[in-house]
Amino acid sequence: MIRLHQLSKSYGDQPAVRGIDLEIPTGQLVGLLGPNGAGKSTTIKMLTGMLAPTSGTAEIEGFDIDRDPLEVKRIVGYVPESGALFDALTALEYLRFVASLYLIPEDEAEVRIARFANFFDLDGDTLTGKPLSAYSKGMRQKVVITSALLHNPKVVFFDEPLNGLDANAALSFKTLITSLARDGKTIVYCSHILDVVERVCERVVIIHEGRIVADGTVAELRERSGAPTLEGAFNRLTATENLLARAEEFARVLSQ
Amino acid sequence: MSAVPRAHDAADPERRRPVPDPIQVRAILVATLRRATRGVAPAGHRGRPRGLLFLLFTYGVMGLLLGLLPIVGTDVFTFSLVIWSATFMMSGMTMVAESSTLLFDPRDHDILGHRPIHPRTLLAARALSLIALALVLGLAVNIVPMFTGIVARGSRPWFPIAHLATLPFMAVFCAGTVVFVYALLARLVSRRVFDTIASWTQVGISVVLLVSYQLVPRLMDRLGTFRLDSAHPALLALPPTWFAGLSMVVLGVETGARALAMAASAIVTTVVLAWSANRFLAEGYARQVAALGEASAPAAPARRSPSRRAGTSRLGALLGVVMRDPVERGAFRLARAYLARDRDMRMRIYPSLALCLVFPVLAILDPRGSARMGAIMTIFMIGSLPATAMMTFKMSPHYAAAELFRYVPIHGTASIFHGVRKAMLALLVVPGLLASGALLWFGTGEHHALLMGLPALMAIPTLSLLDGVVGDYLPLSIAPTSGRQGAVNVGMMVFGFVWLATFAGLGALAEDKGWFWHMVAVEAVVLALVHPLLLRGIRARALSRAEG
Repeated sequence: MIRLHQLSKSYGDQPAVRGIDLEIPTGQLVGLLGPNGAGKSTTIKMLTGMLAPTSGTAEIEGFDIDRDPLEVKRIVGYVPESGALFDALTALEYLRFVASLYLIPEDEAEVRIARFANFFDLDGDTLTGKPLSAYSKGMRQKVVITSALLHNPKVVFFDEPLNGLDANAALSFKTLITSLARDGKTIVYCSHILDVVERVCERVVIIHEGRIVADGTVAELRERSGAPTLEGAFNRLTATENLLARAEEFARVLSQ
Repeated sequence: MSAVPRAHDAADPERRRPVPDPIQVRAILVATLRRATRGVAPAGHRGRPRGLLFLLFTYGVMGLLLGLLPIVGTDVFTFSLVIWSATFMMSGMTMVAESSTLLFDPRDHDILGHRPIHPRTLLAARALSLIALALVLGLAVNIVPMFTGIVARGSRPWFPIAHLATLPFMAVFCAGTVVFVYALLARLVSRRVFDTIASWTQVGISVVLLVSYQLVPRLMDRLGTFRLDSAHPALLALPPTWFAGLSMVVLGVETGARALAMAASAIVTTVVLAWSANRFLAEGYARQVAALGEASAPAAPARRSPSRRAGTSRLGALLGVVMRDPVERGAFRLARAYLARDRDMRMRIYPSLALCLVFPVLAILDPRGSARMGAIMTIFMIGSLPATAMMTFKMSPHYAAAELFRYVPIHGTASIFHGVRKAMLALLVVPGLLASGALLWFGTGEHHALLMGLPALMAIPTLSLLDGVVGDYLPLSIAPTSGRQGAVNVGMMVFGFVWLATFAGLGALAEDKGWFWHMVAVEAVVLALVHPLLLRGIRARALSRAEG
């Protein structure tokens, strides 16, 4: 269970997240949507213990993010949007390093790494033969995802996890997260690719300008907004309905 | 129907631009300086170039101290030579430390690689940014001496003008030398070889700069009379003498053949360096920048030989014994990998190794000088090496990946700190001590001198803990910005000198009085008390959360 109560974050006098109230039951797969700068990543960073909230509280599986940050971090996995890795290491070295940070015994870590490598088609030579700087974007993303799941977290936050993945890997990943949710893991999935969210998430929360503006199943959001698709509902809820007209105007100005 | 705009046509004379293109040079220069001097700050705040400001302040203080020389009756040529030697050493060392950020930033290729920029334009803009940095640093060192030089023996009232007129030449020379060396390497060698030798070239340049700086006063001391006409030939070969000669000619106090030759050397070398780097070496430079932006290309997966695999597993077993904490072992391996493989890290840390070599080399070159002082200075300098390397290891272009440390379940950064610290001690300090010890042992033959370094040697493990006490130790977590590396190096050098003066003074006094071993015993007791306290302080510190 994830529980947020009036969670807020400001940078100086600039509010990024404004008093969010939210409950996500254990085992639910929730899509967290919002335009750029809406406050999604800030919210996730607070929930993963990376950022201190300005006010409000949040609990993950009963642990307060402020009082028990280490307990929270032990049960949380996080795929950051940046997909950043220590480029001078090989994938195997990086994954062993992450395993050591979660205090996973070395032999157990090897087994888990091998299991993920097998799932993502990363062979032994790829894992050990070159530094991460030589990896393609998709390969790097596979390593980032593996590193987030290595400690078998109860709650996983995915921030744009499909970045760079090819069609097959993306399909495998979508199957993976639905399986993880079926196994009782709580998953928060942050993305701009709305059709994927529409297909895999049982519930969608839309944040706009630091506030929750919609919360419900995809069908409920469509019905409430009167739009035929999640994309349409998103556009209406985040005040970008005149997007088409603005795009046409932009193209006209550009060709002058 | 309006005409479709034509695609860019390089052959079209109307579209032909001068090379280097001044408009592009200006744009890249402005962007580079903005990026380099604005600090990275939490969201919603504007960054401040704290590293650069600290560096300028430190250089200003050093200039202030040097500027006091005329008060004790120093003649104008000596004063000028000392000031230019210091400027050359300080600016040169900073140029070397910052070249990784200003000349070879891999992100450049993503941003500029697909734009229509001629290689010479790119190199000119980058060189100008280094020159700008050299000018600012040079000005910080010279701002006080420029005026106090008026009262130097034999000086003239327009000393500030003569000195200031020489400064741009010095700045171009410093930046030009660094650009020339790297651009030449880039032209001559492949990417893989370049990665390997660039960092060792930095060590070489640093040794040359430090040795030259240390040689000037020694040569002047032998000279007795401080005039160019009667100067030691070795002194004439050192670049600071050329610039001192230029200052003297502009000032009008020396107009002899030697002074004119020195002034001409300063101007001609500077112009030739800048011109030839831009004219002949730009293509190779642009190629290397492009190569750095690409993924490194080990085409064939490296298959590890059985002996290497056995070596790795032996090391793993050894680490398991020495370091029981898995996080500490992980941090040790992380540091080892970066020290061995990451070009940026090597270019930042390896020049510090120059400190291990400078004083032994000087002790060998100058047998009249005290080999004992060489030994003591070396060990004290190596004593500040772990702290310099630990601080430098916090800076990396991969800083975004260090977010990892904030979302993994670690109470504090003690284990990470100790892992990195032990890597620095094992992989930098121990080899540095062995190399300098061997040079002093075999080069000077004064074996007793090495014993004098014992108090410093004993304090190194405790000194290496200091960085862990002051805050969270998160390796690779700070974006490198201009001036930051130089500030770390200078800060640590000042720290090194302070601790050198304190302990060396006490050591010399103790030896004179016959209390050397008593002092060693007292130090051992003090360290035995302080070391566990520092360890406890580091272990107790909880990881703070980021503010933005």
